[in-house]
Amino acid sequence: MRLTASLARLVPVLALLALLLAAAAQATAADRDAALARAGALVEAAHGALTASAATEDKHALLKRAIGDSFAFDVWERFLVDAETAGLTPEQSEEFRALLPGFLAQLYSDQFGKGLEAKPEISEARQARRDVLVRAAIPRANGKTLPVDWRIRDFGERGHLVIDVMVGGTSFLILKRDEFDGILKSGGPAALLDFMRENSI
Amino acid sequence: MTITTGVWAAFGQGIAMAELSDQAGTGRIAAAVGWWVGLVTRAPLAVLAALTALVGISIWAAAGLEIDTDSSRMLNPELPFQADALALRAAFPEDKTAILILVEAETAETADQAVTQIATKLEDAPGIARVFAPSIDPYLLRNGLLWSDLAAFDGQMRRISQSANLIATLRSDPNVAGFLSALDQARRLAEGAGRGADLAPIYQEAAKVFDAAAEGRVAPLAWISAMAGDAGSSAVLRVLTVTPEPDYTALNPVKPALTAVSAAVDQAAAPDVSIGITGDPALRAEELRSVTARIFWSLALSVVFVAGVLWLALGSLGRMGISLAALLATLVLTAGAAAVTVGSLNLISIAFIVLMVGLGIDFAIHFLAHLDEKSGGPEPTGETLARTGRSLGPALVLAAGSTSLAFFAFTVTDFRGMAQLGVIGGVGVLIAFAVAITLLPAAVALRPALALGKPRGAVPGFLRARPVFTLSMVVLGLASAMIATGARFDSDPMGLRDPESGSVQSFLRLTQEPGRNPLRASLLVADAEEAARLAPVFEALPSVDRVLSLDALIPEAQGRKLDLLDLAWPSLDHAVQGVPEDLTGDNEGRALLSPISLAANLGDSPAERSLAAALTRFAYAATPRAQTAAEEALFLHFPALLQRLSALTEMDEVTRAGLPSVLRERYLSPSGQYRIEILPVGDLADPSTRSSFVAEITSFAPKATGGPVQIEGARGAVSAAMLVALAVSLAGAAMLSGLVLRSLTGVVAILLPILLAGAVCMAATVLLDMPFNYANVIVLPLMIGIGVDTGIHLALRARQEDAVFETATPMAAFYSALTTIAAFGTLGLSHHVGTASMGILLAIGLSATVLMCFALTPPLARLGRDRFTRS
Repeated sequence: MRLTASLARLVPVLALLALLLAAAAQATAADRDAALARAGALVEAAHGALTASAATEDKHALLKRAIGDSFAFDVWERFLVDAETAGLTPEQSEEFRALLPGFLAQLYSDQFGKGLEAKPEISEARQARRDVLVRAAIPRANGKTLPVDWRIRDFGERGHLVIDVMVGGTSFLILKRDEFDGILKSGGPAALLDFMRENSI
Repeated sequence: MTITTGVWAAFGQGIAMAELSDQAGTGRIAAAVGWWVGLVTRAPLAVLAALTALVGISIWAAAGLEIDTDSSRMLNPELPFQADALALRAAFPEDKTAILILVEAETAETADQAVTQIATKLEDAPGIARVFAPSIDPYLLRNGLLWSDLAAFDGQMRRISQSANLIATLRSDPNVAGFLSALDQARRLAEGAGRGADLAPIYQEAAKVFDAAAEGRVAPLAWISAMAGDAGSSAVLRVLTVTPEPDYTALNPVKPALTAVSAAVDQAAAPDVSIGITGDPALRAEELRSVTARIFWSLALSVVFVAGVLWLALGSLGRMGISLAALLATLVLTAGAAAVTVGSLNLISIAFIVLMVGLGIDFAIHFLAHLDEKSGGPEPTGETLARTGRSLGPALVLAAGSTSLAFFAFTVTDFRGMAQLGVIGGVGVLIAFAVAITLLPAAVALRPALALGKPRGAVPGFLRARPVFTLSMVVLGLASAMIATGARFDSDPMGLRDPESGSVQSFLRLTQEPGRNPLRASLLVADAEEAARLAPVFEALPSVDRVLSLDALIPEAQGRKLDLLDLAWPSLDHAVQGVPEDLTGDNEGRALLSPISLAANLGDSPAERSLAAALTRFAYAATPRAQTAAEEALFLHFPALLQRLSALTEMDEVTRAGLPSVLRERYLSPSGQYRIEILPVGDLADPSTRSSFVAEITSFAPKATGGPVQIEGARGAVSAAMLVALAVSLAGAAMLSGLVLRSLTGVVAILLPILLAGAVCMAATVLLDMPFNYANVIVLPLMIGIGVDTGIHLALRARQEDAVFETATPMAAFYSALTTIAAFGTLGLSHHVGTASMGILLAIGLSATVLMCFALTPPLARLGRDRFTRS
């Protein structure tokens, strides 16, 4: 009798718990869908830009726009360079910010613009802490594909944006951060900006 | 009635006879001792039976004596620094009972293997309440990296990201070819990013693996050390904290825990791992062992020495036998008295065993030497014994009084360790005197032949107070006085312990680790706000390295570190469970990459050159044994790396509520008191560094406590105790000497040699680098008490006889001092530094006392007598 009463009291708690779990699952699914959509839009636009029958400048502009629409530059900037410790002046920081989309577009072109006969294919999405990793198979010049993970985060009103690109578990953000760090150490902010100017679309 | 009347009649007659021969006002003492000796000789069997019964009762009482090795209890608990220490102990009792296990190995993997083995073994062991092993604790495995500094954290995340695919590849393809190929891929990626140097730790580790494999040996790759970036650096130290479940019904409440820890450590022993045990219980247990291990050897040896000296002094087995019987009775009765008066012994008072051998035999030697001198006439033995009592009584009473006074002088101080020895020693000396004037006359009364010994020899010629000898001793004393100014007191209890013992070595090892140094100050505060307010105040002090509190357990820059983890998380995830990718895509298949190919690809950095050379040697070795060894070495510790990386994927913010209870409870007591720990910059084993650290801390927080504060407080308390004991001993000796000799010259004749001998003893502490410590600090007051004995015997006899060196007194004084020195010297055998130094310094001090007394007392006493006679 007492056991039945206790179980009866548990019913609302269990129901609430089930509701919460369902809501969380739904949110996760929605998050994944949005991330898949973002990655799909990115590879579509980027592939379109790289394979467009247009002048190089126009192709670059299209690619830059595709990158600009999909990347969270503030996150990239925060991780790539700590302006304070790197000693960037406000003007240099401003220029860095302006160069970043072109630099990332160039990076995209260098890394993924070699096997353009086939279109990249989005295969799956999986949770990575508070982000979603969307797996894409990027065609290579040698005919094989390169598996790439787009790390996509929900920025609320700004939508879902790419905060990192992973290849074989290696973070581009970390690789580029290390590269920038080396340039800053050897030549300071001016050398970094020179490097970015030379490697930006 | 007849007997009683006869006894009192004898007493009256004794007084009359003593007063007739008395020149120094000691008639009543002489009469009393003579009366007692006479009384004993009338019923010797009854007296011996009563004494035997007393000895039996004492044996029963002494069986319950315990030994307390806690040096902090040697001082008055009401002293302010002691009260603060007790308050800290009450708030955090586990500090005092925690057993620390230090595991040291070349690599983190080897160390953690041993740590896991020990922790597992101790989990359900009897007497163990809790085992905290930070290096394998699940919470700290997940979040521990957050406590490293930002740069180290960043470096480790970067290395993990760069090596993620290498790890994933090895997980799916654990063989040498897979390793070479994956390493080459990681190299190319790192070089592409301009971070080739980041892989140096892995190159170094791999070089060790292939070098060893080329010789057919297995040298496991230390994956965790390589990932942490500290490969090839100094040994890895892990510390386990074991909290015992004390059994207060047992004699040693933490003994089961110590036994379990020792067993677990023995099982985990391996050639490449060094394991040590320390912490208060371990230190005390080993200290007890070191104190007691040779105390019985010392006792046995001192008895042998004493027997040898007795043979020389008394010249007959029978006389030796009754002297040793008197000594044994003294020892047992003193132990019984100790059980009744103090209950338990401490590291100082346990030395009474040997001290009483030296002191207890003195009275027997003097009594039998005097008896020998008085015997041989026609009078009955009983009368000869009574006459000996009357003649020697004042000197014996005075010697017993002065020596026991020197001991009792300790009791007025705050140094309870010394005070306890004072009680036992003081009572023991009085017992020795009582036994000498009871057991010896009773035995001689039963066997009168024992009254006579062999013909006496003479004291060595150089001791006969010749001018050259006297002058040399004065020069020696004055020179020593100059050196003695450098004498110091070492108040660190660690200085007492056997430096070779494992617990002391482990303790010293910990003091070399900045964050783990147990020598730190602590302060109890009421709340977290006060702790937060005081922490920066202490941190600003020049002698303070850092301040630990509950708030300090929340890692700094946690948000930034968690961002970096967030950044590296997919890499971690890929390493732990991702599918390896061929990132280079240039068809350089892993199966094709040979050691020679990788060697050729490697660059010019030292780590790469070293790996290239190792790979070449490995390739030329080309034996199946080399291949197996390389494979085993590469992957032996690989699962541990995966386990660690897997834990890192669950890293999360460290909050006060989420901290493991063992960490939280270190800074927040069950009663709600907060603790701040203040760690020093310098090495607190250095007295001046310790002194300035404590002065700085206590100037801001007078109630600060902890080891260094207690050591400094004890230094003051023990120094004051020593001065008080010295002053009381000196004053007592001067008063007794003055009463007996009734002249200032006489007092000088007794005290001056002792003061000069004291200077020699203090100079010895400087020259032998054997500073005064808690144990040997008793030497100076004891020297006064014991030295006064020799002085009084010689001074009284010099007053009575011109040719003092022709009497029995110098021989008795010489042999008596020799037995004392021989007995004390055997303490030098002890492994316990405190006990050994006490024995050595007592032997030196008493030797100096005898030499000074023989050189100075007779001429000075005679000078006083001549002036007394002239006036």
